[in-house]
Amino acid sequence: MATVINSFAILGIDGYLVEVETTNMPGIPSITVVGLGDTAIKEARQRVEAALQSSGFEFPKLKIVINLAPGDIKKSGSHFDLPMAVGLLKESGQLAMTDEQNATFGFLGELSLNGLLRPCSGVLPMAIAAREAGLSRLIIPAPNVKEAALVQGLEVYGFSDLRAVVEFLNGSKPYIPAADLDNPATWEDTASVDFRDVTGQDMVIDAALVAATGGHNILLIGVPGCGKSMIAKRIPTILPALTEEEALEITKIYSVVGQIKNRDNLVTSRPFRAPHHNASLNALIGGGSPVVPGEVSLANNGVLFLDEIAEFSRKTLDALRQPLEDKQVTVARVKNSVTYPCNFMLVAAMNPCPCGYYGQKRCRCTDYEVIKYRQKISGPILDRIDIQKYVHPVDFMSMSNKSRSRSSAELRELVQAARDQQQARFTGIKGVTCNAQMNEAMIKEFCVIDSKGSHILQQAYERFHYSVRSFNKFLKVARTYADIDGARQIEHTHILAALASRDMDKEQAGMLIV
Amino acid sequence: MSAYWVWLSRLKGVGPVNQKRLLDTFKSPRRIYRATEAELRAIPGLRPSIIKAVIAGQCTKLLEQAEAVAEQAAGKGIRLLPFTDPLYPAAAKAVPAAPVILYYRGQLAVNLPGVAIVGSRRCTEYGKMVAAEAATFLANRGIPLISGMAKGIDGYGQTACLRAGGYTLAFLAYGLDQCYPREHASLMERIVAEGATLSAYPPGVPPKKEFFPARNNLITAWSHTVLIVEAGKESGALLTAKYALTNGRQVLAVPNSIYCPESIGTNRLISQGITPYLSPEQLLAEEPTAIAATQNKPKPLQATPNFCLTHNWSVQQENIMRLLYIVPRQMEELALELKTDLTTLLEDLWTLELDGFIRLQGSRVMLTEAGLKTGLSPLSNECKKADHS
Repeated sequence: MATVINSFAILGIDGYLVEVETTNMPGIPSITVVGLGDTAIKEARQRVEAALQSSGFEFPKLKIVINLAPGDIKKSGSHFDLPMAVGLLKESGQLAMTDEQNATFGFLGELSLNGLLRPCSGVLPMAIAAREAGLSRLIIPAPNVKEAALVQGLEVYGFSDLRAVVEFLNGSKPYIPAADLDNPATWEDTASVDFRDVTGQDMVIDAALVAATGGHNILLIGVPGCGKSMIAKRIPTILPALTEEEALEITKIYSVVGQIKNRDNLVTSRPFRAPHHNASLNALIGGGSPVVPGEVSLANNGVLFLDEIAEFSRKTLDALRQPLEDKQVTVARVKNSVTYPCNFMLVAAMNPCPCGYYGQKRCRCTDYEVIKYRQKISGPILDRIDIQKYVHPVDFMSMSNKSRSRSSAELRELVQAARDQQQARFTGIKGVTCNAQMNEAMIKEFCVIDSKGSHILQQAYERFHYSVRSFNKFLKVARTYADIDGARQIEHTHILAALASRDMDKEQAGMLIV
Repeated sequence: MSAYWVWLSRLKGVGPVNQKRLLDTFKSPRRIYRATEAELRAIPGLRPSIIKAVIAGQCTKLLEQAEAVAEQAAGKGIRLLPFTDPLYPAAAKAVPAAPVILYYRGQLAVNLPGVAIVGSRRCTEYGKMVAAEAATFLANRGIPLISGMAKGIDGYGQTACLRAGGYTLAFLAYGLDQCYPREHASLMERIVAEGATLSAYPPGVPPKKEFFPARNNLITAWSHTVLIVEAGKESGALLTAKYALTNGRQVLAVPNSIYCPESIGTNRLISQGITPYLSPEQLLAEEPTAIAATQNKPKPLQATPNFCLTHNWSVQQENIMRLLYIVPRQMEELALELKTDLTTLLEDLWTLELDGFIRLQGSRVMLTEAGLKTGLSPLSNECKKADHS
């Protein structure tokens, strides 16, 4: 009868139980691994053989078949080395495991040729899968212990070599936890940037605050070096603090792409991802073989910053439409499809014109060129960006001494309070948590304005020829301004502030084109 | 018939001047095609090389080619304007280099010549403003605007003219089935719909550097006044000015800062005795009424209202205007200097912007032309009493 050892594999960002079955039978000595494994799994047999030999065990001279069940899902990763080795040892009688051990233990880990255990990626989701499969104990490489220990109700044993695993299982040596487990992982936020460092940009910080509060996507327009990136980098610091659930989701994604084992810590602050503008479509959305999450998913629960958004290829940008709308992205393959979460806030930055200095004395771009440059961002993407804000370089000498900016902590409090208000407003409406997600019916219901406010909107409409779409955006943004003020009604000051949030639309009205 | 015109215009070795001399004698291009050597010799002062060229050109192959060109043009909606056509303005005919045939798309007005507005492709905000203002002025009086549909000043002027419901002609240095610069494709469409594009070149001819001077000359030929808005040190607009003077047209140049590279040419023109352009009224011909009566109804000139009387500015708003007098300011700066918060400042700025005195680019606040004209400076103590006639 074949030996069965519990291990795990990753599908999307979730783990699932894989039974590693090992059997030997008379025949020409050989080892075969079946179960749709990738190259890393095929190569496991050489690693396992060498590891057994160098750990002082005997590699059975029999015909060996290892099956990874279920056998119809493609699996990848080097973490099957350990369960295979344990299975072989048990099957060949070199390791005695009780039935109780067999039923409660899960194994994962990569083996070196010397029999040492190496860390592997995707440990967190696999540990979650272990608990969900009813296993109570998990044997993993020592460097991964911190990560797996996040899962409650699971005994995690970390070892540094195969020999120690065997000695622990047959009871010859007790388990001694590694020293650094004394300070277990926490979810403490450790941001190193703060809005306090940005001076003289109160209007833009206001816009960033509103964007963070209402979940609005934001586009920053400005000359090179005016501080667009500086502001964008600080937006994650004013988003509400991560809940444990959100942090776990982010950590799972980072675990799957192997970024946890390399950094040796957990994701504790909201991610800020800034892919370069020649990033490929798959790098941004997710894909490849085996499928890995893209930048949109790595920015999950955080900020995706697209600097020089006009330089991204149109195809790449247009692919963002579905992720922006659905907050999740599905990479479809013929056999199966994988869904990754991507609930990110989009912060984009661009120059106002081809030369970058539109509106200043040195710019000689014609209006047609400016419009053409701006049209590089397709309408559907622009349509999902509620706030367009100009950023101007600050005259350092005149501003630096005089003004004090608000700190990220202060701003975050404002955001949190206004978010609570929004949550109360949208209770009972499925899929809507913040003002940016309001549809037209909701705008009608929640964005009621008084006569003074509508008069101002009317004037703006006549003067700057705004579209109906922009109109709804003004109302949504005004709602957020009111929420920050703690006001129930949208007042005319909120409308005025909201009107200053579509700088590019306004500028377009003044352009001399046919 | 049109094939003979095309044939004449393409005659190798015979320029527009001699082409017209032949026309004078034979009255129609068909007769020139049939002319014998003896007849040609009888024309006083016609050089032997010209006679030889005409004789050499009298072959069916060349005529067939000309026919093909005429057909191609007709197929593309391009019409021909022969020298003898009544629509060919007399003033334009008087210019020696005027071609015997022009290709055009659109409708030709009868009240030509018009006023040309030309200038640099890479222009400043100031140049754009002047061009747009002048073009709007012309459009409101029904005076045709002549230009070259190039980037910059040309394009801005023609766009502003079309926006104001005016009539404009674009002279191009390539076949009319093309568009250069490409970004002006929609502008070209509008010009064809509400004015006309003209060219001395048959369809299919791409723009070439050496075609542009002749095109510039054509612009001056069809205008009684030429306004040079901006011209760099070696701008093509200077060449236009030279042609305009040669053709006896009134030339106006827009003055600007002596430090502005886009205005080196125009400022030099002024120093050489060209009239500086100070107001749109200078663009009117000697008898403005005669021209204005034939086209669009002129719209009444709106008197500039005295801002002091029509606007109830708060002290704060007046202070804002004063602070903006010299340079654009950031809203954050204004708030600091006026000791107010951004919310109240936004309210004040909003009315000022709505009335067109200031322009907001994000948080940058600057005065518009109207704002500058109020003359409110940090030094002036009260509102300037504007002339109100």
